[in-house]
Formats: sequence, structure tokens, C-alpha cells
Amino acid sequence: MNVEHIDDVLVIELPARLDAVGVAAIEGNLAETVTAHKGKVLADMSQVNFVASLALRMLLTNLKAVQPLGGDLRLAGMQPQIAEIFRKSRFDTLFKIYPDRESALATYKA
Amino acid sequence: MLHDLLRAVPWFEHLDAALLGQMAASMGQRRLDAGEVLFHQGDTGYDCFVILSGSLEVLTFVNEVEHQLEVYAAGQIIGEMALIDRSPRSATIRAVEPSHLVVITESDFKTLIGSNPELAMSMLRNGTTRVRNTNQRMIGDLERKNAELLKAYQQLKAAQAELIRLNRIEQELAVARQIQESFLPRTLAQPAGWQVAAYSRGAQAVGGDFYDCIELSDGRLGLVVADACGKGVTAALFVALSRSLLRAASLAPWIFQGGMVLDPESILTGALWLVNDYICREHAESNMFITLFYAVLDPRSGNLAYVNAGHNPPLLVDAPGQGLRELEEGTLPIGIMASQEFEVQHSHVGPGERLILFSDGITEAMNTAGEPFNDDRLHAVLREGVAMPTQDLVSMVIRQVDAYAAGAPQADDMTLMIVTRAA
Repeated sequence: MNVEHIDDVLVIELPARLDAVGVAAIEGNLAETVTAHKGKVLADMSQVNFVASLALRMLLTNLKAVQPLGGDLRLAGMQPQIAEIFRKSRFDTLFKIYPDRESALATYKA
Repeated sequence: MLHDLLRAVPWFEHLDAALLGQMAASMGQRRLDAGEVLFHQGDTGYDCFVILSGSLEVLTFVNEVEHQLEVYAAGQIIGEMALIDRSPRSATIRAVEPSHLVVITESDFKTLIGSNPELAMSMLRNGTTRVRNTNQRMIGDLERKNAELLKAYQQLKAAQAELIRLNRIEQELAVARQIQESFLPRTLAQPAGWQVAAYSRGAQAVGGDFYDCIELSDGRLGLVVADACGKGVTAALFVALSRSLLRAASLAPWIFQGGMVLDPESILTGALWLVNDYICREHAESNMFITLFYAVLDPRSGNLAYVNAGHNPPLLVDAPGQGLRELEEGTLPIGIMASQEFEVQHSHVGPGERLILFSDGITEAMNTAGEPFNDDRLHAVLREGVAMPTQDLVSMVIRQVDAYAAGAPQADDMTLMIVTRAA
């Protein structure tokens, strides 16, 4: 899991396989990083090619953690099959989702 | 020359000059390079040797592994044991460095012993020491083996305790699985002109999927397929909770309020509101959610009122099996937002059509290369089996998913329900 700061945005690049094992591997670290940052978070999902329901839960948990602090967790760069899962589960209504990292960062600046 | 060399060795120092001279004249000599073997364990030979210079090691082999017992240096005697008891060589002797030895024949040996009782005594002492050392070594070996055995025994006992513990967990899981199976309907209602068949299999002992077929008031059927986030015990607990709440909430108005017949919209929104509200209020901290498709089917008309709470959309297959469409997606899964409104959508199952409800464990079943079964394969099987009886089609889909996985471990729970209206 790659983490970098671009201006005041914490950008996290999520790994390719977010199945039960993949989620277990990053869950603790992600929660800690996001909670410590408190503010604007962007998950770059361009590498992600599989998400299990536990991955949706992990993202939801982090969203719920930053929103009350005035922060947000936005998603970018979803591959089509991942976008399809977000559409079917209606998780697309929970998150602000952007085609790529640049457009997501631009909305944070606006 | 040899005479002088021998004189310097304690073994020969008491021999009178004539005898030493005579012996030196007839005595054989051996010169060994480093690494050269004097004799091998098991060889026959009744000479012994006195080392004039250099050093030699005594080797024995256990399970073809070489062990060094001792190293002999100049002045020491080698090989006298075989000479005394006329048995094969008890060890292998190899030169550590270039060594010079004299060969003592049996008769020379007797002469040496006779000439020098001190020598005989010292040899007995050597022999005795060797026996003691051997005994000591054997005792040491036994003690070591004993300690190893004890350790192995303790490990075995620990493993056995772990096995008993695992067995107990397995037994409990088996009971949990039985209980969970009892959460699935024992029989599926088959209204006149309709066939209903279903299948569910967890990836682990207990699963996070369930299906239900609730016999509602006025001959209507409540069709449910749901998938709790995750799998295994955590998901199974939420299955138990949500299935029970949903069934109770669906039947309560009818049973407890004097046989009141509610419209499908009220049944759906009432039941879903209650389940969602309960889970959001009581279990918010676990962030668990359940995707759930719940439809109320009126078998007389084929009218379908449904709520899709984040579940993968069911498919409607038309009679010739060519037209195949997804029902509209709906709202967020259950357990995420307390104030969630559940919009009821409507569809219709016409004569000869069938409704396919399933969990993503079917379409995301992986083969050994990690590629999913996917929607296209599911659609192909459904088209292929368009004329099949419903139960057979359920079996065929599962068979094809299993054949596709080809032994790859089942990653997710899978559930399938097919409802067919006669043509």
C-alpha cells in the first residue's frame, strides 16, 4: 500500500487484490493512516482488479471515520469491473468517485 | 636408524638392545599421506602399529555418517584390540597428516609385552580407559536420546491437545452448520403453475449467504437472496440475525394483526425498514452490511414487487431463453444507513419466463488461474438450460461453476434460486 501526501490530500494507492487476505493485510495500517490524517483522503484504485465485500466494508469504515472530522474519502481510477460492483451494491452513492487521480485532486482543490 | 627411532618410543625403551636390534631388522614400516586410510572398520588383520611420527584419527560410521572418536599421536599404539581378541577392526584409522608407523606382528607384540610388565599394565590401563570412555559415551548418547524422546513426547502431547481443541471447534462448527441449514426453508413452496428451486453452499463451514421463500398472506411468496459481508462465522451470525428478523417482520402483521392482508409494498418496506433499523442501531460499530434482494411474487398474476438492497441484480429470462435482462439496481445494502428509504420496484414474470436470483459467489467463482466465472458464463448456462426443469437447471449451473473452478478453493459463499413460471 503506497501512501503519499499531495498538498493537503492523503493519497493511498490500494493493492490489486482486495479479497479477504488482501483486506486483512492493509486494513489496520489503512485505518491508522486515515484516522491520523483526519482530512482529505483519496484512494487511488487504478491497480485494484478484485474487490470482495470486505473491501467495501473497509472503505465504508474509513469513510465513516473521516466524515465526522470534516474529512472525506474519495475514490479514483476504478477499473470497469470494479465500478460495476460499486454500481450493483449502490456503494457508488456513498462515495464521490472520479475517473482518475488528477480529476479527484482537482475537486479537492476547488 | 629405525633402532634409534624405536628407542625414543616408550614402548621400546625397556627392550634390551639385542632384542630391539633384531626386531628393528625384521619390522615392517608404513608411511601414510594425510587422508590415507591405514585400515577400515570391519577389515580382518592381526598386526598392530606404533606411531613414530604424525597423527591418525579413529573413525566410526553411524548411518553412513562419519564420527571421529579419537586422534592418536606419535608414541601411541594402534590396532592392538584386533590383535588381542582376533576380531575384525572395530574402527577405521586414517592419517591426519603424513605419518610414519612401524608394524608390530603378533610375535613382536608378545615379545614387547613380555619384556615390559609396565607396558602390559599401561596397555590394560588404556584398554580400561577406552571401555570407560565408550560406556560414558553410550550413557551420554542415551541421555541425549532420552531428552529428545521426552521433547518429542511433549510436542506430541501438545499437538494432541491442539487436535482435541480443533476437533471441538470442528464439532461446534458442524452443529453451527446444522443450525444454519435450519435457517434455510425446509421445503420450497410450489404454487400451481410455478417451480421454485434453490441451492446454497458456504465457502467455509458456515456461510454468509442465505435464501428464503416465505409463504405470505393471500398465497403470495416472499423470495429472498442475501449475502452478508465477509464469510465464515461473523457473516453467519448476521445471516441468522437478518434472516430471522426479515421473516418475522414479513409474517408478523399477518399473524399478529388478525390476518391483515398487506399490499406487497408495505410488506417489503416494513420488513426491510425494521431489519435495517435494527442492525444500524444495535450493530453500527461492527460496520457489517448485508446485500439483500427481496421480492413479493403474486403467482396468480406473475406480478413482482421488489426491493434490491445493494444485491447483484437478479436476471429475468424470457421463454425462448434469448432475452435475458437484469432487474434494476436499487438502494444501498442493509446495515449502512439508519434512515434508508427502500424504494419498491415492479416487474412481471410472464408465462414461460424465469427469475434467477443469485449471489456473487456464483459469478465470481474463480478457476485455478484466478479468473472469475463471470456474468457471461452464467448467461450462457441459463440459455442452454432454458427448457430444463427448474431443479435440474439449478443443479446444472452449480455443476458448471464447480467444473469451471476445477478444484480451486471456493472463495465465496454461493447461492442460487430459480423461479419458473409455466408457459
